[in-house]
Amino acid sequence: MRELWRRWALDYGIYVVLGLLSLVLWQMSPYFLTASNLLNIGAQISMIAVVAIGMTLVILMAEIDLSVGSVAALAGAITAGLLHVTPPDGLAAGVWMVVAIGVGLSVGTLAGLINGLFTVWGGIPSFIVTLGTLSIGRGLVLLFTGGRPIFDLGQDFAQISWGKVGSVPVPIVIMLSLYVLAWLFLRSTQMGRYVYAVGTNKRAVELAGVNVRKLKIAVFSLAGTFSALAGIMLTSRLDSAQPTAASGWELSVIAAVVLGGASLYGGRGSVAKTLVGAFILQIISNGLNLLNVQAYWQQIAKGSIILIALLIERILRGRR
Amino acid sequence: MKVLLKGLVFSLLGLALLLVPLSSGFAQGSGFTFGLSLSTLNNPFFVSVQDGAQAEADLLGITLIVTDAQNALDKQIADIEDLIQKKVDALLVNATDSAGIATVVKKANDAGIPVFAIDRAIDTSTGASVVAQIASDNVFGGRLQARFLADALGGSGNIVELEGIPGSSAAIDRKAGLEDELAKVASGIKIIADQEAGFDQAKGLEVMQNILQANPGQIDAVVTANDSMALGAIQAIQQAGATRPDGSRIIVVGFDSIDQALTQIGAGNMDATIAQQPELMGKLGVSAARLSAIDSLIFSKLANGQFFPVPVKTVTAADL
Amino acid sequence: MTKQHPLIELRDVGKRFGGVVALEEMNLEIYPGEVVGLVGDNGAGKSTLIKILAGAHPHDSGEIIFEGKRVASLNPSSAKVLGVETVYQDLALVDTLDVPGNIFLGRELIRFGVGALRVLDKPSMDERSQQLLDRLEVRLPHPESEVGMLSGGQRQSVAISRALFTNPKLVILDEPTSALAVREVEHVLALVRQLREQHIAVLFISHVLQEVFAVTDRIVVLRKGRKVTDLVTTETSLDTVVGFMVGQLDGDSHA
Repeated sequence: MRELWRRWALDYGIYVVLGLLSLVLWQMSPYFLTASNLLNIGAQISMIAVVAIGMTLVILMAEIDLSVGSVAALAGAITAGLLHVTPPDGLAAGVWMVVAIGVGLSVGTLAGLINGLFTVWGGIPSFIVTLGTLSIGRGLVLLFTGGRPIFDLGQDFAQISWGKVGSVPVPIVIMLSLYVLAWLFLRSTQMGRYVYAVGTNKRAVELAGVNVRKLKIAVFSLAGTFSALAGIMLTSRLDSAQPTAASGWELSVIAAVVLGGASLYGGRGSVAKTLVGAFILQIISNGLNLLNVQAYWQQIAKGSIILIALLIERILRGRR
Repeated sequence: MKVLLKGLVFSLLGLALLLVPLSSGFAQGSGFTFGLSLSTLNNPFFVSVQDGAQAEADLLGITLIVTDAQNALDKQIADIEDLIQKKVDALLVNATDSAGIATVVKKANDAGIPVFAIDRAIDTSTGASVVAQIASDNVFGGRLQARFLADALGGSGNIVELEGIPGSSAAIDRKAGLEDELAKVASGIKIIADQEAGFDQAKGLEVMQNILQANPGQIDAVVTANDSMALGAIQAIQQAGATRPDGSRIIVVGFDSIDQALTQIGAGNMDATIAQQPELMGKLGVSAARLSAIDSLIFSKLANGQFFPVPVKTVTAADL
Repeated sequence: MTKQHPLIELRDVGKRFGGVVALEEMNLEIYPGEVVGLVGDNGAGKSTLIKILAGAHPHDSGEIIFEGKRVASLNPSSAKVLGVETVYQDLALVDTLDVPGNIFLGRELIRFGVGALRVLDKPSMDERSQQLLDRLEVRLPHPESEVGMLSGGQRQSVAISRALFTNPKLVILDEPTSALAVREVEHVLALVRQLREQHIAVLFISHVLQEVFAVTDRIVVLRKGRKVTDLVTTETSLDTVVGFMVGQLDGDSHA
């Protein structure tokens, strides 16, 4: 019986946490549970949440990607830079915008590819490799932007973050669609299954004849694409590419993934719960803003909640 | 006659003794090497400080070694230790952390290198000493913001305050000047929400969104510790369609006078900002350092660790 | 046992790792459907021998002959194609996958799709793996649970079942009972007898001589990289085998 409770708590506990937290905040502030506030929160987490999809996949494989913030900023900066370049003759502005976004996404994929190659072929732990690309990426952003923001990116580009589908902000639509796709990918496709398997027992998967190297490189590349997309969303949201954009994202994203129950040792985790993790972190900030709580307390609150959640998860998981 | 002659000789000798070090110094105008340790080059403000310093150094034939701490205290400590090793003739330090930098500044003191604090203060309570602090008068800037608000709001209203990075001297000083002056000249103005947004546009946007949720239709003005946060606040206001209780546009006051803020003021979305003069700050820093390097004894006695305020001024639409 | 052609034959096979000789002048035959026990002290060369048969290591000298045909080189895939399956001591199972997931690892049944988006046909895999388990009379109360939740013996059964998926001719079991409780050991031995009944040859490596005597037709003893002797199980005793293992008795290798 106790075993059943334990399993249930591990699988669904985080939803209970979300529910409780929401209840508490609703009690403390009547503005919390309004449609406009919730939609705001959704749009606010959309970027980190998108990166968290890629990060979940990477962590499932028992790897890590610390470069996500720099890659996001770089993709955003390059897209912004291209938006300021006059398109070649005959090319409509709208099409050029798509080209600019395409280039930005490719930059992210390339960065992820580099992460993957160095980790898999170079045999260097992904922690170190992505620490390196974090630095290099940020340096490239500084170089590209000359240390100053790139502003005025056009109304059309702003639609990515400020447009709406019906009454739902576009970033939320992007976020939810990608989450559904990722969820389907992990539970129903062969490659998705391999992602879990590689994180659990890489050797077994290799012995079964699967090209694990190719798989890892592909996942790292994909993570780079997600980072780039989020960076472009951020750039659209701020109508500017900033040298400091997305700084510290890696910590928030990893916090969301880990809060969502993923094991940093690989093989355990789910995108749905990652999303819940991201949501929980954001509603803490949101609630503290709504209640006008002082800045220092916000840091303490966030950190404490993460630690407590992890502790509980550790206890529930037992001696594993 | 003999007495007169003796007196003349002695005064001439005395004068010569005074002049010799000075003149040898003047002859040595070129050939100095100074270190400029900046907290970050990610920020256009400090890029301008560097520009001003470099221009002055070039003019005077001084070699300037610039380091970028990337907002990390331990990096800055390492940077300064390197500069001490290089035996620079003077050190200009823009501290990432006013207190944490004291130890390495003391090392510079022990090595006989005169230290100047640029923009941010350096904590001298634990034994470190600076020849002078050259910074914008952030406290005065805060007061200017308060006076503008008092004027624009006719002495009463509800305002939102967005603070900078907790613990940084700029954030502390601007807040102090703002709140002190408000209490003095506009007691009818109430700060109904006071949150920190890290000097960052994205955070400013997010925090303002949340504050607007919690205080619908009640805000008359927003005052921020820097322009980046103000830009975020403007976006939040526009997206929410928020207005003052009487339906007119919410007043926005920033600090730093960056290009984009001036654009917003010109476009009628923002009301005022405080202009620092970062290039002048860099220039003054190098000039002061040079005098100190020529004769540190005399100059440090004159300067005596004082604060050399670099003028700031309010910038409104009328000035554009 | 009728005289047949050996399923697999090693002639004068040798393997060195740098300066260390792991195997030397190894002559071994395994006939179809027989259970051969492989014993020897630590460092005798058992794992090297297994890895060579499984294609994990190439041999340095000598010949490997499979069903009468000489095999130039072996790798893990070609070994499987020839019909050799190996169950390693650590089982190489993915604990977070269920039983069908493990059985079909690397060869999943696909419903549709290409490249990275191949959609799994889970119902078919569930059905086929259940058939496999039934064939071996392996009873698992909850095959849908994660393999990591199963007992040692159950995991062993899953690993062996997985090895049978390709209808191999030879199954190599590397210390299959080492981590098991007594009751579960019996199940594994029963499984080995099942395999023999299905005319599948088994190479059974174990430290526990009682088990070797319980289930094998022949016993091969290795010592210091060489085959010391090759005995028919019913014609020898435990003490004799131990004697060969520790070097008290000297043997000639069987031709």
